[in-house]
Amino acid sequence: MIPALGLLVGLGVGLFLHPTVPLALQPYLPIAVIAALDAVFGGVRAVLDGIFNDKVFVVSFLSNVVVAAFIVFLGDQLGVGSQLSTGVVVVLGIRIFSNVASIRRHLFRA
Amino acid sequence: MTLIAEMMQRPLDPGYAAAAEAREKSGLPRATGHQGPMLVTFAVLVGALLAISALALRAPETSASQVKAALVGRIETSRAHADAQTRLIATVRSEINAAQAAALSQQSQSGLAEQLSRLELAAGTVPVTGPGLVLTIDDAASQVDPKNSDAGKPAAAEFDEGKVIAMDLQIVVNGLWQAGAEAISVNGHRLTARAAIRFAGEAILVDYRPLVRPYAITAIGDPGSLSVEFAGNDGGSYLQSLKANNKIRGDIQERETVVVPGAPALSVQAAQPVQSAVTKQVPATKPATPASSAPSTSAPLTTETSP
Repeated sequence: MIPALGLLVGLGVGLFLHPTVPLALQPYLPIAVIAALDAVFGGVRAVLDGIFNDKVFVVSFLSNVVVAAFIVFLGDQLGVGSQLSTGVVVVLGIRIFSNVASIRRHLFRA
Repeated sequence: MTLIAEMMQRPLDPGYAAAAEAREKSGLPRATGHQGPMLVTFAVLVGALLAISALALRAPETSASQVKAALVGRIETSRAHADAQTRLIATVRSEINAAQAAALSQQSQSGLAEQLSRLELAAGTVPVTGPGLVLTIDDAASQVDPKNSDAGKPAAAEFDEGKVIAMDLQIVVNGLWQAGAEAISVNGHRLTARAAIRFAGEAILVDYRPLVRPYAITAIGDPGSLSVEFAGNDGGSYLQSLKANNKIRGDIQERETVVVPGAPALSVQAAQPVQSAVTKQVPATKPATPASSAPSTSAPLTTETSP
């Protein structure tokens, strides 16, 4: 419950402060968002499975974001940034969907 | 294929299971609490990340619309400035008129004062009032509201049959002149010898000022004969055909008194009067007059609307 409130507080802070993101960082934002969503849904699933561990959650979140950003950066340098972005989105998207499916089975037994 | 199969079957980070095993072995419960300060901090971080990304990635649209809004604001301030200047001109002109009248009456040249006021009346620089009629023309009631549709579309793909164009107004105004109107204004813009009804893109300009629909044409003249004559001549029949064929809305109202405002500056700088009676016989638009050093007095502007 408290992390959910924290999420809302973070949303509010972001909307209220409205910081300007440097142009060079903007290509990484969608990837970072997808990676963060993947970590969040993984964490929720772990809570429902009864094996949640906050250290694992934080480390998985950070490593997801860093690795995804690195892949996109590498792709930009090689000239295939958009293709690698698509790859990252597909892989993380599949993980998000199967995590959500598992959460759904926990919550609705269906 | 093993990669995909592994990804599909074991999507949860294996780290959770490993950590749970380790905690179980050391005698702790499998799951940690999910209210720790680190976790809450990260939740805030994730929320901020979501909000910031959403705002940052939506930025290009908002910046484009900001530029548009800024341009619209500049247009509006310029127009307000122009209106204020026009009002200033009107007040200064009335002061000039008062001073002129005072000067002329002091010199007991009442004949000159009378002549001046008569010429001003004819030239259309002073507001006039009298019986007349108000002719309101508007676009056809269309399926799509033009206020909504013109926001996104850069230009109409096909010619809109039900839209009033500058030529319609020209023909109708010429019909009114022909019917004996003595003074005409369109949406408050006085038609003088130097005012033109023109188009710029889809906009209708009268005296270089854009008009907003509906178009109210105010004409001073004997209301009875004016409407009868107008209905009988080219302008009236043209308006009838517009109403019948293109569903353009037109409505004539006879009024006891209508007010036609005066035109702003009507200064003539280059043109000079032609000597004596030659003006009567030779059209002023021909430069080849024998006595004339005068160029054609602003003829390109007046051809469209002058009677």
